[in-house]
Amino acid sequence: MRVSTNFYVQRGLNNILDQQYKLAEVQEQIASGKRLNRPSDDPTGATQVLRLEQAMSTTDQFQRNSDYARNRLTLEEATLKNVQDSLLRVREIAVQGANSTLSDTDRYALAQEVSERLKELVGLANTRDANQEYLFAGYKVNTQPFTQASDGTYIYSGDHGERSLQISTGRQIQDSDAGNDVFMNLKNGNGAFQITANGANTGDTIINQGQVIDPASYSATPQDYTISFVTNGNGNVGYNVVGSVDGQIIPAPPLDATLDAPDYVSGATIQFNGVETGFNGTPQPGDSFAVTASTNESMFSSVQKLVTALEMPTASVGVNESEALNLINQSLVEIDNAFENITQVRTSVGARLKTIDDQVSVNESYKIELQSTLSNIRDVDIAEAAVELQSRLVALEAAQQSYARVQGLNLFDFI
Amino acid sequence: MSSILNSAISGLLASQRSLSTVSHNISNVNTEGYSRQRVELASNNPQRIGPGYVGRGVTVDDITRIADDFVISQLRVSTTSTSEADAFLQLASRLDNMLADADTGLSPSLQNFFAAVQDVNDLPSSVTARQVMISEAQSLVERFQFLDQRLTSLGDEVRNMLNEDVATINNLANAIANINSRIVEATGLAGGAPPNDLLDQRDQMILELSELVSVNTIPQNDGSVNVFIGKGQPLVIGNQPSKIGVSETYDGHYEVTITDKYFSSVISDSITSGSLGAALSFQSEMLEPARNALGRMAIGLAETFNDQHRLGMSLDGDVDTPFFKVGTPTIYGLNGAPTVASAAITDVSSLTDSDYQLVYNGGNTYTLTRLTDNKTTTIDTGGSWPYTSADIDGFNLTLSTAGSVGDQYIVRPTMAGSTGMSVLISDPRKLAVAAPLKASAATDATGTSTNLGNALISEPTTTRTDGVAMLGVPLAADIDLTFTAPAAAVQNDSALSGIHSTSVATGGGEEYTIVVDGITAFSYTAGGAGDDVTAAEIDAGLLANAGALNAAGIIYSGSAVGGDLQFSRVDGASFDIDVTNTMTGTAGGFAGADLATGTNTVNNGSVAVAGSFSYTSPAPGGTLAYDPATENAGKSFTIALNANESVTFTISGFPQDGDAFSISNNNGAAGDNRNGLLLGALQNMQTLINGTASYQDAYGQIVAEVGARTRQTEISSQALEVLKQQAFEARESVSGVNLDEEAANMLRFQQSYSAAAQMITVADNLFNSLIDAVR
Repeated sequence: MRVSTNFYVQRGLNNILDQQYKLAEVQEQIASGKRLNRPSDDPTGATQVLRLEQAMSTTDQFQRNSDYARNRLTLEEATLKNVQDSLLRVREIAVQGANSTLSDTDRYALAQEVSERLKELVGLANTRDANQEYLFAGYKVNTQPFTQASDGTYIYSGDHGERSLQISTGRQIQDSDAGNDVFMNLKNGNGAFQITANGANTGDTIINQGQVIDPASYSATPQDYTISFVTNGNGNVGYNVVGSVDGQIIPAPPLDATLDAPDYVSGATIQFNGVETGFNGTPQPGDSFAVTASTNESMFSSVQKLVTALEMPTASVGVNESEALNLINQSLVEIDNAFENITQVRTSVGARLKTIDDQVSVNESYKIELQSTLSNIRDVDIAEAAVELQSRLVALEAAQQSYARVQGLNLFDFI
Repeated sequence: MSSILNSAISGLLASQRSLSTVSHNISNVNTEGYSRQRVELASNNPQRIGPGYVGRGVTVDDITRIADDFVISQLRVSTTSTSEADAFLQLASRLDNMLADADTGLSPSLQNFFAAVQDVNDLPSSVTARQVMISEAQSLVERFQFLDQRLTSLGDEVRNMLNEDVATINNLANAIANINSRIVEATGLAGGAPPNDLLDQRDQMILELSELVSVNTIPQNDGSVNVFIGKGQPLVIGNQPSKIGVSETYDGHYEVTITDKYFSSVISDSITSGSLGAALSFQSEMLEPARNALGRMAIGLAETFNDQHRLGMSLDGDVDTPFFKVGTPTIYGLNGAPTVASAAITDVSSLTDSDYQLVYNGGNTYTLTRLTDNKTTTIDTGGSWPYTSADIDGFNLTLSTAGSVGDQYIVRPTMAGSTGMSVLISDPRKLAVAAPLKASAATDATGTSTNLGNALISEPTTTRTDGVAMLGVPLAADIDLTFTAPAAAVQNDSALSGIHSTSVATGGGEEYTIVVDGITAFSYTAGGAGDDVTAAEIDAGLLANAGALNAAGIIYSGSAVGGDLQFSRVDGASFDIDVTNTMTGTAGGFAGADLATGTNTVNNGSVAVAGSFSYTSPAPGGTLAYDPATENAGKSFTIALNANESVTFTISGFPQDGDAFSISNNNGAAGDNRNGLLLGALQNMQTLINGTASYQDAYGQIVAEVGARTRQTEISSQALEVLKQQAFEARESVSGVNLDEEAANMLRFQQSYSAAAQMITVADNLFNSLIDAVR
């Protein structure tokens, strides 16, 4: 074929330009470290990269959220541990105070310490985190949740809110517990019922707070019960039990409530409708105890009850002492309930911390996976690119040399 | 002798011509579009002498231009397509690079914004975190607008490119018309011999023209050429050029017009190739779809974020506040058609990235055409103006009056989505991160729950009809829900209220019995007249039968003396109480109603068995049935606050009779992030493009489309370049100058010139010999 001078100059030049372009391409890939420098390099890959980058960024954010949640929960856990330590001390004092050999002065000293502990407990319940948010105020993080009213009762001013944080796409973790669930809504008495002495009792009977021994029959007919002491047909002190719904329970109808009342034996237990309790001391006919369903009471009020009991002057009158001791017994049971409740909250906090740790490591490995997928799609294989660069350099040099050689040939040179 | 001389002279002249042509070829070796020329020689007519003919030398028959019209037109065609691909690629790469760059793309801003939302969720009471979220939102909006502006300025470039191309086309058209007339003239002067170099110049001009637009030529007999562009639009006829122009259309497009002596017409549709065609198609195929898609994403993001934000509550208790300002659709009227239509976005997920054409058909109908696929929708107003159409692709049209038949509008629903977007909230306290309502158990003055059961209520969520102002929240009054225990939860009881002693025995032997669930609880037979049954006798009788009743699982409480006896079964089952009275007077009443003489049955099954929560506010109040026995795992309730709003919550567990919950305004809840969590969740929700794409996906789609189109153009541009190269080679092969060839020719003609000169010497010698002979 006929070839024009212009043509082979042009073609040689085109070859060089072509090789240069290819070389520049490899060079850009090596310099940027990326195979994918613009969407047109790999349109599908480019969208994948966008998606992966978003996933990376959200995962990073989830890790940040996890850190927040962890900090708050760790603080909550530490605070609740302190609350429990304090409660344990209060319990010790209650046990000590239940000892009838103590003098009023001794009891008063104990009352002082419990008062201090109570302040400490309120302080702990009002703990703030590093961001000055109250830990146990629900959503009302800027409102001090626990305050003492002028009448001495403890008031909760937070709400029921329990904030959650997003720690993975489908998972939220609660980062705090509302104070009312932790400290306020505790069942008084033994959790099912409480037994209170009639203030007009004249005997020195001490009743224990009892327990539910048969939940089915206890809950069959919810009602209040009254345990009354009477002089029975034997001329002894006997007791009867009357339910607000069932009517007379002990002695069982149709026995006479008074005449057939069973004899009272100190230290014996009595059982009715699934309830079991027991007495000590010497009751007087006409004394009574009320068994009522438990209601909610705050931990502070239970501890306050202990202070009140310990501060009661018992002097020489045994009656007052039994009132104080009954109250201490009641408060002791309630402190145990509070302790138990906080243990439950701590368990839940611990489980959440565990969940966070698990999620954090899941997120971490997810990120690594994302990173490697991203790298596969976007990044250049440097070794491969280096080899490619070398081969294109050679090709460019070859194109340049052949151009120079061919251009040197000219018939005119030989004329 | 003279014939020798003449013949030698003709040889000299022919060699001279040939040499000067070689010289011309050599000189033009680098002239673009130059076709090599060749001197065609022919021997002169011979002279007849006695025995035959003797030659009379050589003559220059013709100087031909070595060119092949087929090869030239091939080159033009491939030049047109290559330059189209190159021009398109050049524009598309701009878009491609713009989206690729992390600093100019939308992705980082989007991610930063949602990260800031999450940070607010971590610490809702922090004004700093809130401020950061607002700043990030502003950056996001700016990024949308920056991209939109870059697209707009690419549009300006398209216009500049069109203007430049059109100016070049006009120059070339004038030059071709001019050279046409010179060729006609020169051909005439030379008696039909073609002016080779002028032809080359004209071919070169036409080749240059073919870079801009596709060209067709029809040679005329007089040597001129008629040039047509696009699909047969005449650009040059003989020595008459037409004029091409660029104009902006009513909806912001650019289009190309052609003006000849008589007419001006729009030829954009037929300009599909060359760099001019590339600019036009880039405008309609990439730039505008990208801009619409970006706008659609902006509108979608702003609208969906707003919908959720409105449901939340700010630190100051504001509800129903939008976060973003949302861009609105744009409508252009053709040729000043009066504005009779307005468009509004109704459903962001159904929006397309297309533009629409609206045409008034006369009468009550308009036709709306989706321009990407020409799908038409007829809107019949039914004669009522203004008329709001049903939703079409996520927007509706409100037509205020009939126009004139043929009035045209272009509706661009999403084009202004980016420019119309802005952040409406500047005060960090106004971010609606909290939920407006909260639910809690009833409490006493100390904040301690008074509920005895273990039932729980979930935090309430509010919902509203889209686009309607929120009026129900904050609540005018708390919603207090009080539980009435189901019969089964406590007991089935039937009140025998007011057992009277008004039963009168008239003779004796009359009977009064109370039979509970088949067990005789009381039975009395009158001993004689006046032996009436008294309440005390009923009490004593019941006590006597208590054992039998207990054994059957029936217990009773209260006393007839007290006027209120209650029977119940411990297992909660229903039962009947039959009271038979044959005495005169009433037997006593159930639930307040006295029973007549005779057997009276109260079927306890008629007592409601399921429990319920009752509430009085919002009016008119109501009851929500809840049976703890079967629904303790959680039951969802919805209470309507008004026609458009409702509140939904779940109750679970075992409430006791009288337990109460309260749904109230969430005041002072600085730590609440419930709405914030929902706002954050929007990032990964597929809210756009018919529910198939998240925000990121929608952007990814734009990137993918631009990338794929650029890639495709890049590949075809490379392929076309090869074709063009081949066409160029073919032309060069035919018409290009080869210096070696010319060198050889030069030597050849030099030699023939020398030989001819030698012949003159020979002739001279011959002549001298002759002269010498006769001297």
